[in-house]
Amino acid sequence: MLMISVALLLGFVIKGLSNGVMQEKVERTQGIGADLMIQPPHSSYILGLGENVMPDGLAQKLTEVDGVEAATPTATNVSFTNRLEAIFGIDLPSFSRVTGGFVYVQGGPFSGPYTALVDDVYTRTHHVHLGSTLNILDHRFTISGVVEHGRGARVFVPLKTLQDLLAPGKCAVIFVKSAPGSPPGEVETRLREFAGGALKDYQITRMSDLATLITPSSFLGLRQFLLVIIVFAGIINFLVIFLALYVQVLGQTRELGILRALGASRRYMLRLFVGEACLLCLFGGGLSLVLYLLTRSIVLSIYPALHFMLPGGTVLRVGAIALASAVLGGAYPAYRASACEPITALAYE
Amino acid sequence: MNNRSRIDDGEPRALIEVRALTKIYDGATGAPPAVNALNLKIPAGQFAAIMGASGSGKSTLLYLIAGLAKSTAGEVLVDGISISSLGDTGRARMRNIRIGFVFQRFNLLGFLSARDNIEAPRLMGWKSRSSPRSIDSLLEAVGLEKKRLRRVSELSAGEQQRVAIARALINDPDILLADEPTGNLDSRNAEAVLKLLLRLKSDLGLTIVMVTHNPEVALCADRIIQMKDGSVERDLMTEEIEPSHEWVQRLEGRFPR
Repeated sequence: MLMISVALLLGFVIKGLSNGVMQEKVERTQGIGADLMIQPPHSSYILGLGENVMPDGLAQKLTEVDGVEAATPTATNVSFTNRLEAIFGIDLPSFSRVTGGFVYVQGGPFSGPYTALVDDVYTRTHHVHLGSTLNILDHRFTISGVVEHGRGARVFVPLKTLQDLLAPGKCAVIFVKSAPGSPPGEVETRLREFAGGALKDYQITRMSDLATLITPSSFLGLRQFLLVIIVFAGIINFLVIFLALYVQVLGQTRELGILRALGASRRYMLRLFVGEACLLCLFGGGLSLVLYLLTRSIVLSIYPALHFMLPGGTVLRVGAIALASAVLGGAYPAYRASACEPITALAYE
Repeated sequence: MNNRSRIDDGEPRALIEVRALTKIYDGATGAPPAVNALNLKIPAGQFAAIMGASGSGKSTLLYLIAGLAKSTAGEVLVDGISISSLGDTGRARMRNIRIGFVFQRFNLLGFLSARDNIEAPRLMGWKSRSSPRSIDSLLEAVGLEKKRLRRVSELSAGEQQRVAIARALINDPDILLADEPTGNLDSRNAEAVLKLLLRLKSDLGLTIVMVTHNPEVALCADRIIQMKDGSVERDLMTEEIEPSHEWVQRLEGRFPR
């Protein structure tokens, strides 16, 4: 049973972690407070993976579109120092107009070109504090403020500084906030018609649609990887149940003979073994959920920035795969048990 | 339950009828049949002992009557139903409901308690679990009510055989088949088991067919069927056996008649 639960735990943890990380990404991006975001063609919805190729001046022009209350250009970069981390280069005044502004836990806004804001989760996971320095693109940035998490990235630097280091005058995304009473759908249509369709090839995404857009398919090979893990868990489940029951059939032949002699039909023996396979799977599945919760709390205590999310649908799907593999694993031992002739089995030593 | 009725002409009704029964074991090419064209009628309520040397086919006959093995030819009828023509499910049902079987080696499930062993046949789904015969009354009948929750592996051989007898009776069968039920017991336990079988026969009106090597045990039955080479060599009622017979002489005062 422990082996079954470990196999399922593998599936639950990987699926829960990937779901959680993506969901957290969606929530953090939606937490910016924008209604729409504009990206260059063929960009990833995962912010930080896009290229800084849009002119930042475009954001100012977009504020002239009817229904747009504010727009802010944002350059992005992914830091591979220590851990994979998206860094936003922001224009603080316009970013604040879109987001409603940061809530500062410590310190305050940028105090110079090489200063940075980090969120509270970042300070916990990277053990940094106000005044600490960060190495970004081989430059040292001093933390001037710690803000509440949930505003897109965990590290923010001045837009101009990041542009100078990456692509002067360019940004990767423009966040747009629609004016009160202007539905984002209508604003999106107007943006597409802006300047005679100048943005027609750009990606304009409603923030409310992000949850359906950021999925395992957004990451190359992730869906396949998850599928392989779940199939792998199913195969382990199959093998464990098959071997456990097959050994039982071989080792308890005499007991099977006794049951047959007492009036157990072949159908009864089939039901008995397949039922046992299903019970093993159900108890193993229950134990795997307990182990999942335990693993999650241990992982989160070590890496607070990670997130887990295991929807009921996923549990049911993984459970169904496990149950199917259990029935398959139990089928042959059940057949062997049902085929045993009472007298032959009773003579077995 | 009580099938001891007699038909109008005074002949007792045959609860078990064996017609030209032959059994040749698979792979025993050229070997003589274990049971060879055997004919036999056992009336309801009779206690028949089957005797014979090892290999005479007595256990095989019992297995064929119980539907534990399939005959090569001929048939076994239990209360007019041909067991030989039944499929696996039908034979399993017959074994569970109509026939109780007691083995020489008890064949209990060692990891279960006495009570659970007795209940096991009731869990096969053939008979309602609320059948009138209670497990407790059976435990009382075999004198094991105080050891009901003990694992059978912790019981003595005699106690284990009594659990096996109680198990055979849980579904209220018409027939009790016993394959050398005293064969693995010392004389004191053998006597206790034999007395129990006799009491059950008289109290419940059971038809008992018992295989034994022991002539003293056989003499407690109503009828002795002597087998040789798969056939009936001698078939006689014990009441017809002369007091001067050596079996009777040896038996004197030791077992109830």
